[in-house]
Amino acid sequence: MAETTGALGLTAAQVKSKKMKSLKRFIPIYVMALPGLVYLFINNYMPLPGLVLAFKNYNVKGGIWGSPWAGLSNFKYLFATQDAFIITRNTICYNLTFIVINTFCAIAVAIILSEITSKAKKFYQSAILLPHLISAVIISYLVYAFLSTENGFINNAILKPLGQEFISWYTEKKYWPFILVIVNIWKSVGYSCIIYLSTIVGFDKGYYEAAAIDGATKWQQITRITIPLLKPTIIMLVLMSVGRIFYSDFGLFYQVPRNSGALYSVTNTIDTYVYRGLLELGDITMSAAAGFYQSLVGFVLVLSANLFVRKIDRDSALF
Amino acid sequence: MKKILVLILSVVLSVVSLAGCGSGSSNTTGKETDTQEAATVAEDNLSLAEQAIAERKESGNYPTIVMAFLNWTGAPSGTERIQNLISAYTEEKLGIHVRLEILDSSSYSQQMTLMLASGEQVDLFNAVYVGYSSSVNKGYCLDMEENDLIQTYGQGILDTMNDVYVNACRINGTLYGVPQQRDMAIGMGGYVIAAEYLDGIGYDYASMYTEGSEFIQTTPEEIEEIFEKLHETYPNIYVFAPQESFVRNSVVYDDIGGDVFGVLMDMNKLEVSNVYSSEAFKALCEKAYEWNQAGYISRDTLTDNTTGAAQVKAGTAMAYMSALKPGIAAQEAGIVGRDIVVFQTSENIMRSGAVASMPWCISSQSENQTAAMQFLELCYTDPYLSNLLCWGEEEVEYVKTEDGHITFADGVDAQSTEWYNNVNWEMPNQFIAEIWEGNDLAIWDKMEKFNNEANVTKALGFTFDNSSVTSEYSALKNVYDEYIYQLIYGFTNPETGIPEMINKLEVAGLQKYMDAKQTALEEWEVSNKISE
Amino acid sequence: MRLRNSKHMSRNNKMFQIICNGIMFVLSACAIIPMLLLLISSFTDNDTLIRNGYSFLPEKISFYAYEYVFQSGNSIISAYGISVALTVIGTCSSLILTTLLAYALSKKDLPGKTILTFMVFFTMLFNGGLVPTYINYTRVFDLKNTFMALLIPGLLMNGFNVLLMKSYFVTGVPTEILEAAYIDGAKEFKTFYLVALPLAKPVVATIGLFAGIAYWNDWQNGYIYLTTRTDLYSVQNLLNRMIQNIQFLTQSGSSNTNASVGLSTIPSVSVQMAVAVIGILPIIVVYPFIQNSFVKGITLGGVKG
Repeated sequence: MAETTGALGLTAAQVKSKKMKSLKRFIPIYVMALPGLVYLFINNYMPLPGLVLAFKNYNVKGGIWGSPWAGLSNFKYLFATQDAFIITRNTICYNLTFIVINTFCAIAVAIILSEITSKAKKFYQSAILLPHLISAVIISYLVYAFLSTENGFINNAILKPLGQEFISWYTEKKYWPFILVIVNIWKSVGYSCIIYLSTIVGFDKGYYEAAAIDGATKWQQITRITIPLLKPTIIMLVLMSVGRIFYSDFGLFYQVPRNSGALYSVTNTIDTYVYRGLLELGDITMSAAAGFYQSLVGFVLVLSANLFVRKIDRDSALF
Repeated sequence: MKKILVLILSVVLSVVSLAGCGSGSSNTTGKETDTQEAATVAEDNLSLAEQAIAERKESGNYPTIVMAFLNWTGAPSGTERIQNLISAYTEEKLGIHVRLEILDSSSYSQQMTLMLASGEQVDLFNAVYVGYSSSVNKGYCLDMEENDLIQTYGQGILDTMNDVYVNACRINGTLYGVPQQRDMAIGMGGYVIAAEYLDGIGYDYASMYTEGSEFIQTTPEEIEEIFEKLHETYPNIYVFAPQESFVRNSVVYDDIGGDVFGVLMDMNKLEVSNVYSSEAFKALCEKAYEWNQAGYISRDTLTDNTTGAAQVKAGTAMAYMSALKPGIAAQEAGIVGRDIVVFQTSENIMRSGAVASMPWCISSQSENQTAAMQFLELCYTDPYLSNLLCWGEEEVEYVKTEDGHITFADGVDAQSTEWYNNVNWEMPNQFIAEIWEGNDLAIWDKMEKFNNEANVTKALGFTFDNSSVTSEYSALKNVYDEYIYQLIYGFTNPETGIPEMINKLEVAGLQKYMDAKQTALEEWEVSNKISE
Repeated sequence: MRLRNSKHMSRNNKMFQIICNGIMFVLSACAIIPMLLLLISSFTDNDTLIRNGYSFLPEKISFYAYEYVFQSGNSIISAYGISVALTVIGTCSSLILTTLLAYALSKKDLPGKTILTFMVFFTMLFNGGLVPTYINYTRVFDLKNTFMALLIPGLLMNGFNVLLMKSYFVTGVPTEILEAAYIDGAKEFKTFYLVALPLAKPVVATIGLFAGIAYWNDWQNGYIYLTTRTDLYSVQNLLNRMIQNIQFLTQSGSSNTNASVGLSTIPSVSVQMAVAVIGILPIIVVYPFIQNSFVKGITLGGVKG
């Protein structure tokens, strides 16, 4: 970075006054930040103390603050159960898989899109974004259209002509990790690639021109220029995903498998377990406890990951 | 001067009401000491109720009572108009205004929880799907007998509803909600079969009806034979569309406490046992497995949540099970869009949760408890109000027909009507409202008879507070969801499937849960006998 | 030398273009074919759907699902109006809040920057929960049954967008340019508006798109906060209520015969398809116009030279 002060040959006093000016300079910055911070306070921080509900036995007479303390009893149902291991395992494994695969696919698609010069580019981009826009319920119907035992596309149009027996998709566990990963990519790649695409678009074209003149192939350009430049973005997005690692896309794990009991051991996540368990109880303290648990784990993980990233590459860390 | 007028008014009214009490309504059992005492108290206090009304009217300060309940598809477009009509009427009668908060069925539980927990004004609400006992636990419901509230201002409710039902809504002896007039009992073992297929196999159902009955009483073996013949004759249509309620509609048990983890297999004995280890359940699963293997049941049943009725309507299935009640035949025929025959293979029973499953409660935070109670009473006793709630505005939504029914007004149909309150079973008193075309004019009498003659569980009115075993409950529920449908739809062999499920249930804490229920049941039995 | 390289390059490029186009074509097909199925199902007779499942060549066509949706009570047209107003106002407001905060946080020497960034990030992980949020917006701020209840809760600004934009400001808007502006005498806000913002067009467009989609698709706010003002229902709110109710009725219908009655007049399956189509349609129409911001590149001229 150029040392503007030194180069201009200022005296010590002038340097000092320049520094004073720059502190003053931050006041307008704070003013700019104010609306956002105010909103953050109102929307996120004011309700935050409500998390104490996770530790209380709620009674309307006492309200949130006056209700009696319940210690950790609201958390019991998340751990003291034979399913606790399964739901935690499922949640973590799926999320890790999603992070890796989705990042890879999103970047790949973004790079491909950025390289395409034909008019069809707009079409492709709109097309792959569509799946993101429909709700999980509808997606579950579309998947059902393919996987239904009686009328499904796969059974009727692919297996039958090949002389294979029908597969009862919704009772066979082994296919579902793959099905869910595929559906998840289908749904999110169009949306996730946008971030990478807009980042790539902002890169200095000069780098590529210089590389091309030096005789670099497309592939070399991609691996030597684009991807390294994307590094900060990738790290940031991965860190943010790590923070949500105990959450899961409810629609994906509840609706798409059509709540089929036979598949629970591979589709039950913390969120679906909580939903099923609390559906008829209507217990706000237990669901608050679940939310708290998920947030806390994610928080600890992200802080650790961030510290780790900080040691390697200070600038790429979130904070 | 005003005081004298009020005095004269109350004297006149007392005389009139005494005369009225003499003739009595067919619903008052009157023999119970409680009611008699209450009646006497009520007569003396009639003036209090009237006083309250007069005071409100005088001051010109009409409090607004908020009444919240659910509608299957959300607030109808004519809500404001009907609300204004109701308000105008109650202004005159009670000196109050009314606001209706009609919520979507799917969001009702969440919405009501939010509204009640945040202290929003909700004076009167129905506790369906929110959970009656959990609402009481959280303190949402007002004790209706506090300061004799219901006796003073809501006597009409006590007069209308059967004492047995009112008492069934007590939790630990306190009355937090009141039941409404509807079908309390259910007819078990009901099979609905589309008539055209029965004709196809040459089954002579017309001659099998007993006098005046909607259903054909038959045996499970007979149904099996019918199914066999149906499958032979129509191999391309599924015979039977089982639904989630398969066990509930077939096996006689009382799911006390509102869940299936520990039930009374013998409704005359207060003994909690596991329905899933019962012979009846095993037999049901074996039957389902047989039928599934024979091809009677669609292979998509596990994932396809289309109702049995819709499947019969679409022509993909020929029969389904339904809980029976008077008027069900006409109702299902309307849904299915073709002629149907209803068979019953079991008895009529009334489960403990039947009565208190959707009570009307007054919010403990209501600032107008008296007014709320009086409005609630009016809903139970006033036909005009009941009609507004159930059917809408006369001449606009409906018109009277020559034979005493009502039907759509001109130019209005099921799609375009602005007030389709399709939840009349939720309303305080649908019995005093009009009867829709296609239904028996004597239907409410039949309903009462149906309720009265059913096999009533000994545990009627028992509620279970499961807050000490909630983590067991959520674990049990997950196990239940995992195994039950595969078993009852016949996808898993019951020989191995049932023991597996029972085992997992036990690991999840079934015994502890059932023990908690048994203890609560025994306590309830003791305290109940004392109060009686 | 140059000629040979460019011929070599253009052959290379052509191959590359073909491969890229091919891949994207396949991906797009995978995305569109199920959508086509969705569209066709919405025009299929409900009973046929139940009988034969979903098919590209339905036995029986019916527009009843659309009739039902458009006729049922609340007007879809006015719902579209609300949706559009909400999306436009919401997106603009959100962009303003987000860019200002992100820019502020991107300032390298800002005192307290780490703490503030952390506070923003914290909100992405911890949430007070539905009940406290509801109490906040209905008792503390009386927003229930107002337009603001659609605009403000949750959507107006979120930590993810702020951090994303901040990262872009840090890496994509070099401090040299900003310094150059200061030397030229520009104040903070002017620098932001005239220099930084234009350079950040891609990310602004991205966040705008995200916010726009979020506002358009949101039905939760309306679901929770609108109970009596049915005229404020947005399209997605209206449609999702319908779907949720149908789902609920279907689930209850098998155990509660009364629900079955309620369900019987609704062509439940095809309606849900129709609902999905109606919800997506505007986005499909509008999106190509917004796309331009991504396609156009940005040349920075002589900055890095």
